[in-house]
Amino acid sequence: MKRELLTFTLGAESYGLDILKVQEIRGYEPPTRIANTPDFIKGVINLRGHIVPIVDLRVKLSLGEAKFDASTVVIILNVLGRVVGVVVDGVSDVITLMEDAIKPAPEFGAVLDTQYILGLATVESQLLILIDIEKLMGSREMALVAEAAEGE
Amino acid sequence: MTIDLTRFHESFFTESLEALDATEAHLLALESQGGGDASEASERVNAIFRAVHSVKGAAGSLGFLPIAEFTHHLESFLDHARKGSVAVTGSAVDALLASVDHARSLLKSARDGGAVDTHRAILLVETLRNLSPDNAGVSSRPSPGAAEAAPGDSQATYRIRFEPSVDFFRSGNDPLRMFKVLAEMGTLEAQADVSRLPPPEQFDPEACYLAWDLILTTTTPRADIEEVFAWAGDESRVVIEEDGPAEAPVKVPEAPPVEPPAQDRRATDRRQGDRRRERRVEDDVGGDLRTDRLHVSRDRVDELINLVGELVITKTMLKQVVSTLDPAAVERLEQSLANLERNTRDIQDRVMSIRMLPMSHAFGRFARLVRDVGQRTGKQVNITVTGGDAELDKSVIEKLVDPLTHLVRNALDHGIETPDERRAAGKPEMATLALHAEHRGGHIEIRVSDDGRGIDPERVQAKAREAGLLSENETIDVARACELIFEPGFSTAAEVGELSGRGVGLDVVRKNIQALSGSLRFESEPGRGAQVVLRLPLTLAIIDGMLVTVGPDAYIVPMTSIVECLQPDPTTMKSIAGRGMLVELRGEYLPLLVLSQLTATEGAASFEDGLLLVLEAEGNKVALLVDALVGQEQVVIKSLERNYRKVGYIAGATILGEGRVTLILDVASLVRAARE
Repeated sequence: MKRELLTFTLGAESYGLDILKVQEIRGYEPPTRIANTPDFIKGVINLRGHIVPIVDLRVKLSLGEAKFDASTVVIILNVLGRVVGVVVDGVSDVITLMEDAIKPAPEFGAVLDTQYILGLATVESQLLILIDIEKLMGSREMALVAEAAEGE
Repeated sequence: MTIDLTRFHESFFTESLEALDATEAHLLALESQGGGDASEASERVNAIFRAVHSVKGAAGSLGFLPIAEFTHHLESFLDHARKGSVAVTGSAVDALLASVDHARSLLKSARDGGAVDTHRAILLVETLRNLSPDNAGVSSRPSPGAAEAAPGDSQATYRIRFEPSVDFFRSGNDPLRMFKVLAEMGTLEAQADVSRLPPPEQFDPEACYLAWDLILTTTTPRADIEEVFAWAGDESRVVIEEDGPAEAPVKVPEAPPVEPPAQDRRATDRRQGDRRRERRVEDDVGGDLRTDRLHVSRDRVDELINLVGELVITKTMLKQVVSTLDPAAVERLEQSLANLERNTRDIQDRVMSIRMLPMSHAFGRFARLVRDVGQRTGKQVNITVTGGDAELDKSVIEKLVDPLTHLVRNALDHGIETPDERRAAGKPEMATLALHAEHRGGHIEIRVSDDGRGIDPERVQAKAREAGLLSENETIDVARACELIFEPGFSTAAEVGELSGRGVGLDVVRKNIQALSGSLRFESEPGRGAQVVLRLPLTLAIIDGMLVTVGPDAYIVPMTSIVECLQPDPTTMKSIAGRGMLVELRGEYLPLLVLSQLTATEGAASFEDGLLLVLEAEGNKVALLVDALVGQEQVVIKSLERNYRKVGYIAGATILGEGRVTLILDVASLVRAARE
């Protein structure tokens, strides 16, 4: 079993997510702000006629200083039947990993809760954190989906 | 090979219901014209016959036997009418209208399930038969959609089942050559049946496992067709079935056709399905048995509308880019751009028009309602319809039918008096109920008016007191009465009748209209009549919006909810501890909402430098402070919930010319928030 992953950086860390969830990658353009939403929701953009929310994972995970420069990109994801954009510090590569190269994540003090981590892998002597992006985006704390937000 | 016949059902139901609507309209016209123009009357009877005939044929071929059987009886009666041996007046119209209703309920039960009153069908058939000049002449045997011979040498359609023997090829035969001969006679459609193919290990390359279903439309006599198959050998099976002529002017009973064996049922149905489509194509050329309408799923149209919206945005972006370039160098580019702009606008108009339907679609049904109510209550009502051509978005029309029905029933029930009362009031006995529609800018205005007794303020007053809507010593004028009847819980119906006053009042009507971003106004002159004026946007997908700014942000406020716009005067502003702020406007205190506070926007203008918008929703008003008005825009409403979720105070989003997302304010939720 092989896995194809899109790797990207958030602050100093490298992350990977299932490439099949990725619809496209775009440059960052300031979205339209929506009041009364969490600060990691940057707003909404027009993606060929569809209104797509933009999540800043760096703000959500308190990683780095969430600066916007030439390498800042938006990964447009297709998860849970929705289209969602995620701001990251940069997209690195598309890699193929064998299943056995992926190790389970130990309980550790990562910024990302282990329940959203599929596993860890070492690629070119660098640690790569595999995110379960569907689970993360559907989670209650992201409040992207109305049902998940009702408790507020 | 399995053929899913159900894919034809949808269009069958739609077409048949349309045919019944047309039949009903013709019947009502026949009745109201009485002994009018004879040739026009006979044309109408013919049109009814054709409509019923096509419902019968399609029902038969799709296996809806109760419908086929019932419409067969209807058709038999109409055949007499067509030949002039029975007049379509009085009781015949009653019976036919009742039959149309029954056919409708048969169709609906076939589509949605549910029981049908078979006893009623028997009674109706009996009535029709008694009305027929020659009772014995009416056959009770249904012949759904088949068994009609072609008179003379006119074109006929043959359905041929050809199952060659296994040794067919060995005897030197070539099916292809036979089909070529058939194809020369007319139009031929061939469908191979591969169900006899053995598993590969038993396959004999020299044996013939195939069978064919052929549909041949030709003027060639049947004998010549049989001749083609004469050499096929005794072992081969050939079944030639003759369909009715493409146009069936005269119906001549014929011996039942050769029944194909049971295992061929599916193939036969399939051929009939094909035939339905084939007839549709033929009708486009000349026949009027079917409409030239296309039934397209709404999703596809919406997708198209979406794409066109994108095209418009791209064009605007392109135009902005070009405007920044050196004009001398891009003169030709600008020319092309002007063309693109024109074409884009045309495409947009056309695409939007796909969703549009004429108002007559909604008005049409009221002629029947007025007639039936008139018969039941003894009231004489003449209905006039004007502006039925005015077009409106299909989804708006669909949502408008219920409120309109309510208003028409209300006028019939409460407004219009009995002939005696009218005579006593010095009015003609025949009352008039008028339906009118017209376009006004981006809106449509629909008026339902009657010349009945109008509103009675005293009665309204008494009722309102009873319902607790008015205090004991409060008195009202006509204008206030016109407003009160739209309050929840108000109904002047003395008794809860079948027609109206079923607990749901005019407040529901108003709510429905407001849900369509429309407004409603009731006017009445006591003793002279009443009029309801509805104002609605032409489509739900597009609204007129006012672009307002607050700080660096922009929002769209729906025009329908803007009452007025004014410069704020600090002296009119009152602050109430813990209750927010109020603005006094001509003696009325409105809650003040500050948009920059609601949206947590920084850098917004101060109260003095801003603008106040007076907004109304659900009967309540608020004042909203914004920085400035930018201008009026027609905007396409996009869902925020599709990919995100519902957000407070926001009704949706739109994309403005330059491609940027702009949020649309939800005035109803603002008003609600202000009152809490």
